[in-house]
Amino acid sequence: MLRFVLSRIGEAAVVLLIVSVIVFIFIRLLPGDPAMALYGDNIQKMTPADQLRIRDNLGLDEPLHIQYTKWLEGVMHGELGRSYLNGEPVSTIIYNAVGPTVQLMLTGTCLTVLASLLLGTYTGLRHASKTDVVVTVFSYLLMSMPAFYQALLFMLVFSLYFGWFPIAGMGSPHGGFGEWLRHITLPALVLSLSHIGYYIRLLRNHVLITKEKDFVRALEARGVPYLRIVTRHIAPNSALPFLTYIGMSLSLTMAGSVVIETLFSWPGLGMLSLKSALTRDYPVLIAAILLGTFVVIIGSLLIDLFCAWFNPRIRRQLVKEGAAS
Amino acid sequence: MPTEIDLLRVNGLTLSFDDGAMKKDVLKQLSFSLLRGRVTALIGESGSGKSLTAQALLGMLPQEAHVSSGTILFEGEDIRTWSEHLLQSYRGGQVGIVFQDTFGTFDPLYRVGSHFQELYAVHAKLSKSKAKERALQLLGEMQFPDPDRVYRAYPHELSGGMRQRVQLGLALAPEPKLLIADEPTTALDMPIQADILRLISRWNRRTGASVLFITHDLGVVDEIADEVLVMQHGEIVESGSKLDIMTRPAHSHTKALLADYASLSAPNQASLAIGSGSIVKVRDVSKSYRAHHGWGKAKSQINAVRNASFQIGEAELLGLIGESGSGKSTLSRLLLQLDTPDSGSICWCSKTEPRRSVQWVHQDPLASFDPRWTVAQIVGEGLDYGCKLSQDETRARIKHALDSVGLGEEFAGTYPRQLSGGMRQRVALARASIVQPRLLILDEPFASLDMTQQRQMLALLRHMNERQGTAMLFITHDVRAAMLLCHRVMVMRQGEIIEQLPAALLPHSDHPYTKRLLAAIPGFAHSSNKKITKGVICT
Repeated sequence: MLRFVLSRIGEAAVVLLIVSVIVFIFIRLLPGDPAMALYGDNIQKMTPADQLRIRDNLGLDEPLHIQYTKWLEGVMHGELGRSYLNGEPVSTIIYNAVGPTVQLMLTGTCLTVLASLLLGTYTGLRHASKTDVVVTVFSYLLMSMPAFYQALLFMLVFSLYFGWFPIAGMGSPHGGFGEWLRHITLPALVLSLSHIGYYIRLLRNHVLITKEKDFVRALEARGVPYLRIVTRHIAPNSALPFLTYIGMSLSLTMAGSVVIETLFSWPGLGMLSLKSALTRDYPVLIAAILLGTFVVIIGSLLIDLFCAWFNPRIRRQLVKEGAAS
Repeated sequence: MPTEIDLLRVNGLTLSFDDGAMKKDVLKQLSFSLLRGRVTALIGESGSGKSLTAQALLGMLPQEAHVSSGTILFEGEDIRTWSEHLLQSYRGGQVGIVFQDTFGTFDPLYRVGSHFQELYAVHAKLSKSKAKERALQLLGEMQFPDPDRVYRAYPHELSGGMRQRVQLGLALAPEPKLLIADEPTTALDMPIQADILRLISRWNRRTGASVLFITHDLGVVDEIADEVLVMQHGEIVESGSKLDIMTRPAHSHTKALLADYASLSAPNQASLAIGSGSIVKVRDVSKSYRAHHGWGKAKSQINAVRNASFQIGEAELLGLIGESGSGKSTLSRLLLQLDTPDSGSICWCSKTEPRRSVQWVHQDPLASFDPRWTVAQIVGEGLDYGCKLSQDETRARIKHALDSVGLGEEFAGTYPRQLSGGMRQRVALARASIVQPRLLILDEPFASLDMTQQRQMLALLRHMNERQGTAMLFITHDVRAAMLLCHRVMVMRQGEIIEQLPAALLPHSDHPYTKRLLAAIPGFAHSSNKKITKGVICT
């Protein structure tokens, strides 16, 4: 078990290193530079000497590989650098953005899991019923509609027309739970609905397969109530591939949250990445991207471990290896 | 007190399958009763409606089945009028059922213990610790030497025989008044089958509850039943006590079943003329597998075959018997050159390429067919490789091959799914024989067939052997079939061939293991030597 976790963490470290190199190079291939973004048109009025000094201050005049090793050295010492924009430490900026993103992703994922468990199981059991048809149609509709379009649609209907929810932002930090809920509902809903269709379809199909299994008949024949069979046997057995898929689609959720956070002005990592990309704030951008990668890798590792624990065959294997090592 | 209400009484039950377009009666005017404390056997060919009857008794019919008339009275009450809630406590609580399949009937995510806990929670409202106590006691009664280990095990960690005993334990846990056993031993080795039968009849004697035992094996009937119901095409054609049915059958179908059984029980007296050449000589062949325990761990060795030496003669029918896990299939893989032996030699005494001269028919024919191919394509595929034949010739060869296994030309265009188990096995046989091999390896070819089909297949195999001179290696755990078909029989145990002898001499073997195998044949005890067999079973 331990061996498995350690090897997965080792893999994660390698992936992060590769991602950081790629991001480092590609950011600098973007047209424009931080000095331009910082001072805008003013930079034209400066003397070449001043321009050089700005770049020198930002450490941009050195060759790329030296910049990278310097940055990496800093990271190893827990020093992520300072924002080009306002000199604030990157760690503080990132720290402030992580909370909202985690809130949004957790709420969205919970909504997805709950709704798709309910609807997927139900439509799987009542295969080809009216509910199944309706849910299937809506699943496909949501699957084929881009997240940003859904977001705009929801804003239009629920915020502008009905006025039930605020159109954007996170509300004040002192607003309490009610205020937070009002603000998070729409973005979380869009995040979840934009790919809930896949989950519902996946679970429905697996429930369809599982409910025909012999052990379901055997349990029925032993007099176990059907509701109990559904909740304790059919749903867990069908949920295994479903859980794996959640792990795999974490990156999709993360990518989706960039669009959604920006549209709803949700002050999370996604919005931060976009903003820092536009202002060529390299240290913030690279930290945000790496953190996103890290969250995705760790998230899928956790889901993998959970699945392994969930499935006795894999669990026994892992425990056996772990006990001996 | 109305003492003599039958435990279960079925009156004029007629059941039909209705899939919109067609209506077909599958059970016709079924009437029978199960007496308290007796073991009733329900016998018949596959497709005669035995399992459907069991489902009807549990009130668990498939959706497309409709009961058009009749009643099912359990202690005088019609279960068809009961609510779903009542039915739930009746299933499992009053009637326990054991299925043939031992693996699929367990939820793979839960331990054996959880299955017991759930059952006790539903039927007896017992707490977890109480349930565990009862379950451990029951597992002990099921003759597990270490009930606690079984209780904590997952289903996939147990062998088929152990799972079947657990399933039996689950069925008996809520102390039902009736146990329905739906071919519980068909998929098991004979010694394990004997264990299960003994457990069931012991339970029946101890508790005085009734058993409905569904089987196609008359040997099992002979061993366990008091009463017998004979079923054919959805009707009960004969019923009575075991003695009456077995000795004085009245209905022609019963007679036919008994004749099938009798012909299956007599060993083959014919032996092969000595002196014919041999096809293959196997000398000191060993094969072991490494069991993998994870990265960098010491690997343990499993010796699947150890120092096997034998030869197969021209046109010889050689049987290979042994329990599952004894290395039979590994040996066949070595002969088929799907694996190479670790040591020893397999010498083919033929001019042609050895691979072409040996063909394989295995246990599950359906798994070896491409579901999108027609029978003609499946059978004819062997001719596509290296046999440069014209289309007409190919067609003629396919027709001939199908003819030789007793399938008419009309089957050429059908798909494997549309065929019955017996027909599929014939198609597999035709596919193997079309390239005119000198040796056919038959790996448990009858595992899924009922007695009548088995007898027909045996006759067919013998016919092919006599007419085409094909030698066959017949791998089976069914000692009877091996005795019946083969000239010579090899007994295998834990990778070693412990005995080779003519089939006719097998019942008189002195080897203790062979004796044990023979003793486990259901009905063998009655037909030959009662005392010896009993002694062996009771140890």
